[in-house]
Amino acid sequence: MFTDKSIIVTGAASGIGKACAERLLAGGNKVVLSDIDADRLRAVFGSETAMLKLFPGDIARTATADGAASCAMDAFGRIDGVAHFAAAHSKIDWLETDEEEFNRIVAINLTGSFLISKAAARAMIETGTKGSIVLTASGSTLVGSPGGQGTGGPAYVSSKGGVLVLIRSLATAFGEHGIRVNCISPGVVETAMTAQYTPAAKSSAAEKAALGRISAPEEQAAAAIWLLSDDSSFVTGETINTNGGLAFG
Amino acid sequence: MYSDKSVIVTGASSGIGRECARLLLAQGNRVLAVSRSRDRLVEALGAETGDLKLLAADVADLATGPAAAAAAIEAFGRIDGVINMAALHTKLDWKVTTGEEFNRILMANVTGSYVVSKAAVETMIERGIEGAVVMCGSGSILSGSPGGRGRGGPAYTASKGGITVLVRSLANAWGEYGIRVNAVSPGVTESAMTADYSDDARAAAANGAVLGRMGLPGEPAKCAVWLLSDEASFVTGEAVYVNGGLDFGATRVPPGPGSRRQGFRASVAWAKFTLSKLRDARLGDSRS
Repeated sequence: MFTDKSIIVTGAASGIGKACAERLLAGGNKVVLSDIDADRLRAVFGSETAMLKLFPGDIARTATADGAASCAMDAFGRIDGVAHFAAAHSKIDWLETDEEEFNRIVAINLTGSFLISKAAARAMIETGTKGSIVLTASGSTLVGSPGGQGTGGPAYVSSKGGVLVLIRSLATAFGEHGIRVNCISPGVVETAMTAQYTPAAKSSAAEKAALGRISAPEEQAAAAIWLLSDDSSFVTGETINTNGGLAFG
Repeated sequence: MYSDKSVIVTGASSGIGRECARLLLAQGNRVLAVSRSRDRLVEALGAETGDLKLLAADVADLATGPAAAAAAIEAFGRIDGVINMAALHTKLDWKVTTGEEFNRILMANVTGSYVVSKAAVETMIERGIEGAVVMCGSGSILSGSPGGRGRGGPAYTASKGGITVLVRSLANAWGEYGIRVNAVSPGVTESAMTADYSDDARAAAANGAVLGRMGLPGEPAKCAVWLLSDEASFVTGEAVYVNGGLDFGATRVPPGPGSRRQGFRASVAWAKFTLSKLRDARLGDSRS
């Protein structure tokens, strides 16, 4: 049972992040929740309590990542884990994707993943906490989705492909401190992000998965929480494909 | 929390399989434990109880799969999951691995896992039970371990590569029945299998892992039980590496101790020796 830990959850106002935050709170953990949509974050989780702190902001900015880590240290005195789900979707194809869009997506999805990992690891190392960091990639990296049907385009899949390798670099760097770094790589999930999918893209995603369906955010959150827990104590630098058998890799 | 389920565990008398069986029993599940020796099963898990049944059988024997499924159904009335941990290790390198040895390893590690899983899943489909199958891969498939020094050789790594692909095929086949199939792929784990590693190989394994140590049998076991549970409800066809960050899919294992040149010279000496034996044999034939 995962309980009594201090966890930062990003992208917490909706989708997988919201499901993860709700389950962590229900399990008796302390959480700092971040999301770019401050209003929605407050609407979903209400006001702060002794177990719940809110630190909304843009995760592509160092100030947000460092601020969320400081918030957890001030409130709870330690950070045991990070569950990082904040991401921006980009469904446009290569013809429409320009330099600005590509850089924007990479900054949020990949640089943001690095910044929150760095901020949390610094606090963990300082306090001697053997924590766990969980990032989020995407099953679209396996299928090389071209964009255009609501599914991720080149900027999105590249940003998520970067996460697959970032975890290896950080796992190697943080290993001697006993800090583990892994990611889940979700297939298609019922969230606001995939609400942009065309009906054809959605039903095709369900049919292509061996399990014949798309997933609930709670199923993705469950995998992330397993990676946060000591039950995965010898797992690091690893990607768990939570895609229902959509693609293997 | 995975509990109140009926699970077949092979390789249950030692190492990761034993830890799986213990963990499942501790969480209130029913276990049919399979291993070649009944004595070692009793030693590992204790005598049979209402929740624990023992079956002394070799998974390389094609009759073991149906026998295990029948025993589990008879004892518990249903099967919810299978954990295949029975496996043979072979550290022989390619020079001493014969076709017979290769087949012996594939039979136990790949065919055995397939036959046991198939027999169990047939009972699950028949009863409309959604569940999961876990097989055992190996981190050695990432590094292409050549054998020698205690580490797996070509037969072992090929068998574990086979498992890694088998779970994908069966995940596709059984997905429509709500049955998930995954592999847990341990790195170097403290067990009877790795007890014969050379000191060099053990140190290299610990130092090579970014967590700086070998794994404990309980660690892959916890992963296996997680994969059985609904907590992994959207994970199928997947291999989860529980290797402490030993190899990230690309690390090459050099073929032997000493410099590469020494290895090269040793191979040349070996080739000359075996060729001369063959020549002698041919000469003998022509004389007779």
